[in-house]
Amino acid sequence: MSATINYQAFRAAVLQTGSRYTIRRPEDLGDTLIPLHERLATTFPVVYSADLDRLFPSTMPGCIDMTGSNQFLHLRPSVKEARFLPVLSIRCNFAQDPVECRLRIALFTVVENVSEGVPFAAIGFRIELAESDGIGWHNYSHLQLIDKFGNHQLPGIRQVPTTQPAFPLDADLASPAGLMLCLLLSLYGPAGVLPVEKRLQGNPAAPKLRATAPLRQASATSGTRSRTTRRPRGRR
Amino acid sequence: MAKKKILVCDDQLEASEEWTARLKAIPLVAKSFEVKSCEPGTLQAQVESLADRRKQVRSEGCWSGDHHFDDLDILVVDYDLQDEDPRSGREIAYLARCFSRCGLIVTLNESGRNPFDLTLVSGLESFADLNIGSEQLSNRGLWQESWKGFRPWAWPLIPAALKAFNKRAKAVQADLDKKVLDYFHFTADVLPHIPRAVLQFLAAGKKKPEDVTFRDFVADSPSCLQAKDRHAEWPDDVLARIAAARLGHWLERSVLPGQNILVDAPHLAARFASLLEKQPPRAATLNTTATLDIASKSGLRYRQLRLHQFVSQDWISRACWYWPKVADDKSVAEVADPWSAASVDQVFCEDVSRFLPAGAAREFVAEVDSSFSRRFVANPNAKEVRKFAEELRAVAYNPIVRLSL
Repeated sequence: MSATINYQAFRAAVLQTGSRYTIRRPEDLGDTLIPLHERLATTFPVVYSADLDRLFPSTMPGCIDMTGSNQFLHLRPSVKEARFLPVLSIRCNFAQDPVECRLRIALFTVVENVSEGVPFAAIGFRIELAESDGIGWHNYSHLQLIDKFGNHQLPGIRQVPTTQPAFPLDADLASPAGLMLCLLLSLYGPAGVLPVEKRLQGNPAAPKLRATAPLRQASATSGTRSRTTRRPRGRR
Repeated sequence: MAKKKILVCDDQLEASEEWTARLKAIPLVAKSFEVKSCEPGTLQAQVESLADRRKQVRSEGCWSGDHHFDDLDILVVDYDLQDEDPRSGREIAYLARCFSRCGLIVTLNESGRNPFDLTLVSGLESFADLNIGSEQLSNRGLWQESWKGFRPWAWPLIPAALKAFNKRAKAVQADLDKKVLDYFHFTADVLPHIPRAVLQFLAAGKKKPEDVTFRDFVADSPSCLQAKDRHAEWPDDVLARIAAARLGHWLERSVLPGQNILVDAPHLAARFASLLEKQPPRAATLNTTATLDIASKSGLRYRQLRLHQFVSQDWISRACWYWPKVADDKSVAEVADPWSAASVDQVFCEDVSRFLPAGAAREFVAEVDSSFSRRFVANPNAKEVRKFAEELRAVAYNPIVRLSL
């Protein structure tokens, strides 16, 4: 698969993530999360979905480094962990062989009634493609813990192992676009990732997730059923 | 020194005379300005002759002759002039800005007699430098530095704004072919943080916003001249005045309100209290930052921030800093250690231009592409606001849907 095709699929996944999952109306976050979002936006300046294509242009650029350009994607909380605000940073270089693609995600929350320490806590992960084709510790797509995000130590974390364990990712997802879908799947579940996956259809580098297969099948079946079983108008 | 000239125009003489009288009652205005009402029946002729200048520009490329408005320092015009002229105040503001050499233009009553704009961004399309209600024209806080009660933070100080307008018109005349974003030092570390919704104002012809010069902006941008006026050969001084007015308005009404490209002193103090000159961050300390007197340099540690200060100070009515640069400056305690920073329990109220305890304020959501869209206005039912509660109750906060329930 050429780097350009891979980049286009990845770019489409990033832009879709921006338009579907970034925080558009901070006021909808609720009383606890609004001040947290403001604090996070102060530390990790927001890139808005409408401006993402300036970072990810249609023509394949060299290295893209969101942390380096001090711009971050502030994502909506997941339904089941609504106390946490996810912030995403991407670094990629499709001109490199093998392609470099690193997603760093940190989930921040407010700690109530703190007697000592800071009133925030976070946990962070990096999701990366294989870093080499040869012998090496990380020659497979993997997910690891991180203790820093942007240029800052994550709050509430003193000691985490940041090299191992490096959990291997599903082989289906071992592509740049696959990493993005993997991240969305982990935050928003199969139903959440499906619309983004659908938007990538037609791109040869678009991954197909096993997790969304039952939903795709169900939607295809219900589409067929509704076409074949629709009653003629006016007959009840 | 000769007094500056203010002309107040309305189709009803009674109203314009009342506004004139109220202005004259402000000592500073009486001392520095000669305030007159437009003679009954003359407004239409004045406006018509501006329209004639426009015809002349379209056919001959330039205008000739004198116009009463050329000598005005401030033109105040009511939005609804139906008894005198079918054009709206907004159309007259366009004609006055483009076809006369008048100074500041203030339109009255486009959104009511005593409004407060909860979007914080309305009126960008207007060629008036300020849109207010007629009840607000004689608000002392619009004319002098000290104020009490209602005084929207977005308002400039008119005498200072007039001076700044003339200075920047002169400065830009010498730099008409300079790129606008370069002129304002929106460099590579700031430019990516300017949302497209804000940048689009500059788009001119096929040029990218980064490449647009002041001349391009006036000649080609849909945010500036009406289509048929774009192809005229404008004299450089008029072109510079138009650019100075429109781009100043853009900075005030589009760039600054989000407080995420440029940030002004009170909003910066609320985020980074360690930058306050005096600690701890109590109301009195915080309120020293709410000043429009740029030279006073009061409240914040100006020295620490000097490398980040907005360079074109004549273009905006208050001291400002490039937010992305401040937010990336490790010498600021909250940047070096964002998690330990104490939060300030006072909030800045945009309608009274002062800090109040959070419990004495009401939240609203401004219409800005910014994470800092949550803002505050004073709550007239709070005891801290008792002294000017009636004054606030008379204000129409619009659109009301932006106020949190």
